Amino acid sequence: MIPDPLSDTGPLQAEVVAGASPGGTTGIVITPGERVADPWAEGHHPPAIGPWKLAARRLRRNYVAQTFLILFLLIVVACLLAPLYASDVAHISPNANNITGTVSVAGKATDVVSPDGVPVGPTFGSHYFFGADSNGRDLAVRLLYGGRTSLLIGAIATAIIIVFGTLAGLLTGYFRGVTDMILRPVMELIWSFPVVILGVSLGTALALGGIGPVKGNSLFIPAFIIGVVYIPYLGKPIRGEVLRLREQDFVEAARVQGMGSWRIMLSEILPNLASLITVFVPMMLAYSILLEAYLSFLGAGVQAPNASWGTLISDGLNYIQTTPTFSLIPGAMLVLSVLSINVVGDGIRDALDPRAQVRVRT
Amino acid sequence: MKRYGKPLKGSLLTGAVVVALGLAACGSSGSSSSTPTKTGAKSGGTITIVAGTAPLSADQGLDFTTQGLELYGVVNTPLLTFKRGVQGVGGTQIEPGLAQSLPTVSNGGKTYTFTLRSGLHYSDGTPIKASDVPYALERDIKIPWQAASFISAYIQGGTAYANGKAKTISGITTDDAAGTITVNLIAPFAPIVDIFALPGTAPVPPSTPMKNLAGTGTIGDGPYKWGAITAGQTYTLVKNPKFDVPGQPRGHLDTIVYKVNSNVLADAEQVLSNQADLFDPGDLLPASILQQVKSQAGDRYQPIPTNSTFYFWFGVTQKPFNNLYARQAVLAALDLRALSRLASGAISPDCHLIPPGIDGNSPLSSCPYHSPTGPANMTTAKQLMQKSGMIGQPVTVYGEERAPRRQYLDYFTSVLNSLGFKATEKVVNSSVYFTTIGAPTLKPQVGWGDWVQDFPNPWDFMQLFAGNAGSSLNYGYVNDAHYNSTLNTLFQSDPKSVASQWSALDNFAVNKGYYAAYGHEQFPKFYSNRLNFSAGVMSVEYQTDMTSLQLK
Repeated sequence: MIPDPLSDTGPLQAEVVAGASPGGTTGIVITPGERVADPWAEGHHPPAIGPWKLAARRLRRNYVAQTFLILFLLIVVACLLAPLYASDVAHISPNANNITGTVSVAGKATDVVSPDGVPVGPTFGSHYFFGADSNGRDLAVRLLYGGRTSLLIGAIATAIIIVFGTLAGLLTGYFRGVTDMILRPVMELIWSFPVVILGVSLGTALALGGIGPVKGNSLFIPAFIIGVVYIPYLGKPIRGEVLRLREQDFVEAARVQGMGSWRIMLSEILPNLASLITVFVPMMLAYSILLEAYLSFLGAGVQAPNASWGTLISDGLNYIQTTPTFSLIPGAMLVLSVLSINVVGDGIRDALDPRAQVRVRT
Repeated sequence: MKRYGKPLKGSLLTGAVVVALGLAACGSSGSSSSTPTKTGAKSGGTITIVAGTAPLSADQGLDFTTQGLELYGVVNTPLLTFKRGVQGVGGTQIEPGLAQSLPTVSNGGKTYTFTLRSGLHYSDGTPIKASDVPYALERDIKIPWQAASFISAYIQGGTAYANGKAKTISGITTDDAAGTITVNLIAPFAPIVDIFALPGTAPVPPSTPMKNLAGTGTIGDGPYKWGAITAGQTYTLVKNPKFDVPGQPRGHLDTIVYKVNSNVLADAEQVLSNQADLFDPGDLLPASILQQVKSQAGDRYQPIPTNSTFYFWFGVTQKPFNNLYARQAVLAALDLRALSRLASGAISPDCHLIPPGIDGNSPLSSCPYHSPTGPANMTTAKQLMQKSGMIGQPVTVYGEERAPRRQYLDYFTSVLNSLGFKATEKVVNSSVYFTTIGAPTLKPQVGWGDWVQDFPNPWDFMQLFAGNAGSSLNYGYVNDAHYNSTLNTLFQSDPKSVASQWSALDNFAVNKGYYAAYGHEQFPKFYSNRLNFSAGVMSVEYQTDMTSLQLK
C-alpha cells in the first residue's frame, strides 16, 4: 500500500547528507513514506535564516569550492605582489630588455640571450626564475604582471557584462514593446557571432585606432571588447527572468500602489535577480579571462610590450621544443585560475539554488 | 628582404659604367648560358617553398618585395637581366634578357636604345613586340608599381603620364618592325639599365588590364608561368614550355609551390623534417631551432651574406625627433649587439646604411658614440637627452608584427623609454607594414625599416633618405639640402671612383641622426634533403634563384 504523503502522521522525513550534490555540497534527501515528528508542532520554531546566510552556510560546507577559492586568492595575491617581486627579488621591470646582460647560473656567468639569440632557461634563482624571453625579459616577472593584466581585464569585462547585461535584460524584459524591438535584435546579432571571431575582429580594428581618447594599446580595449561580446550572454537570461517576474503578484501589487516603472524594476525586480546575477559573476569572469587569453594569443588582445598569460603562451611557442616551460607555465596559471573560478562558481550556484540540492529518493 | 621600392639595379660596374662608356656591344646576344645546370642535372619534379610572408601581389606591375621578386622574376623576363646561376656578387652582372645586347647610349647619356630579339613569345604564344615595353611601363605607373617613381622621375614624359596630362610616356618610342625601343631620359642617369633589368619593367601583352592582377599574375615570358594562385597563401609556378629567350636558364623543376605560413618556426620545422623543400630566405631561422638545424642539417644550411641594411628611421619634421640631440641620444643608446642577438646572430652590427659589399661602405670605427660591437654609451645618451629637452615626450614607434621584427620593436621602444621618452608601440601586420608607414597621411614619428640591394650601387641605399626623389620610402621625411645635392651628383659617377664621397655622405647622415642603422643581415639558405643543395643558388639579386633549383 502506498502511503499518503499528505496524511496526518507528520511531514516527510528529511536527512542531511554530505556530498550529495555534484559540487560536494550538503543536501537534503527526502525519503517518501518515512515520517518524523514535526518540530514546529509544539511551537518550537527555529530562528529564521535568510537565503544569503543559508547560501553562505552551504558554501562554507563545500570544501572543494573553498580549496579552489583559496587557490584563486593565492594567485591573485601573487599577481598583486608582482611589483614587489620585480623590484626586490628579480630587480628588473617587466618590460625592460636585457639582451646583452648576464645572469649567474650554477655560479657561472651566462648570457641572458646568447649571441645566436637563444634565451636562458629557468634558473630557479632570484633572477630569471623561469628564464628569459628573446628580449632578455624576466619571464617570472612577466608571468606575474601578465596575471595582473589578465585578471584586471577579466574583472573589468565582467563588470561591463554585469552592468550592461542586467540593464539590457531589465529594460527589454520589463518594457517589452519598442525597447525590446530595438535592444533584443542587437543582442541577438552579437549572440549570433562566434565570440572569438567577433573579438578578434574588434580587437584588430580597435588596436590600431583605439576608441576616442583611449589608445589602441590600452588594457581597456580588450576589456571593453570582451564585455561587449558577452553582454547578451547575461542579458538574455535576465530578460527571460524579468518577463516572468513582471507578471508576478508582488509586481502587480506594486503597480497598483502607484509605483513607477523604474522603481518597480529597481526595488522589486532587481532584488529578485540577485541570485541569478551572482551565479553569473564567476562564470563571466572565467569566460572573460579565457577570451582575453584567446585574443592575446592571436595578437588581438593585450598589445606589446605588455604581457598577459595569452601573450606569454604565444611568445613561448617559439621555444616549445627547447624550453616548453615558456608556454606551459603561463598556460598552467591560466588553467588554474579559470578552474578555480569555475569550481567556486559552481559552489555559489549550488549554495544559492536549494533545488539543485534536493533529491527525492524514489 | 627587399622591402618595397626597389630602385635601380645594375651593377654600376657592369651595367652603368659599361653603358656610360658606350660599350654597346659588350655581351653579345650569344652570351653564354648562365644556368647552373651541370651535365647530368636532374630535371622535373615538384618542390614546396615555405615562406613567412606573402608578396604584396603576384603582379610585377605592383609588387616590389623580395618574396615577389623570387616568383615573378622567373615569370617576367625584362629587356636586361641580372646574371642567374651565380652566387655572390657575380650575380649582380647585367646581361641581355629580351634585348639582343646591352643598350646603346647616345645624346650625352640621355638616350638608350634597345633592340628586341626576334621570334620571342609570351607563355600563351603571343609574339612579343617592342611596343609592349612602354605599355608595361605605363601600366606600372597606373597601378602603380611600388618603384614607379624610377620610371616617372627619370624618363621624359613620365611625370606628365603619371599626372594624367599625357596618354603615353612621350620619352619612349618603339618600332615593332625593327624591334627597337628608344628611351629618352630627362638627364643622364646611368642606373637606368638596372631599372630595365627589374621584372617590373618586363613587357606584357597589350591585352593585359591596367590593374593589379594579384590573383592571377600576368602573362609572362620567363622560364616559368603562373599556375594556381591563392593570393596571400599559395603561389604556383609551372614550367613555361614556350620559353625561348636564348642564353637564359630554363629551370629544372616542373612545378614550384610557394606556400605562405606566418609561423616561421613551423616553416623551418617542415624543411628540417623534409616535409617542405626550401625555407624562404626572406625570413630568419628562429633562434629556437637554429642550433637544431646546424646540428641535424648542417649540410643543407648555410648563411649567405647579402647587401642589406636594417635600421630605424626618425620623423625629423615633428617632435621629438625634429631635435638633433634627441636623435643622437638614440644612436648612442642603441646596443647593436642586442639587435644582432634578436636576429639569431644573423646581423653583423654596423651603424652605416651602405653595406660592406657596396662601394662607399665605411669602417666600423667611424661610428659615433660607441663601437657597433661594443656596449651602448648610456652616459652620452642621457647627456644628449638632457640637452634635447625632449624628456617625457610621447613617441609612437612603428614596427612589424612578425618575428624577429616585433622583437626589434620591443627593444627599440625599451631603449626610448630608458632615455626618458614615453614610448609606445604600434605593431602593424607585416603584409601592410610599409604601405602603412609610407602613407602620406600618417607621418609616423619613428619606426623600423630594412633595405636589400636592388643593384650594387650606394645610391640604391642612400636614396632612401632623399628628400627630392619623389618616392614614398623616406618615411621620416628627411629633406637635407646637402644630402640631396650630394646624392644627385654622386649617382652620375662610377661608385668606385667616388666611394669615399659616398662614405662621407653616409657618415654625414649618421651624425645627423637621420637613421639609426644597426647592421647587415645574412640570409639563410636552407633546403630539404630532396634538393640538390650545392646546385641551388642564393642570388644577391633574386634571393632564391628558382632556375637553379633541382631535385637530387
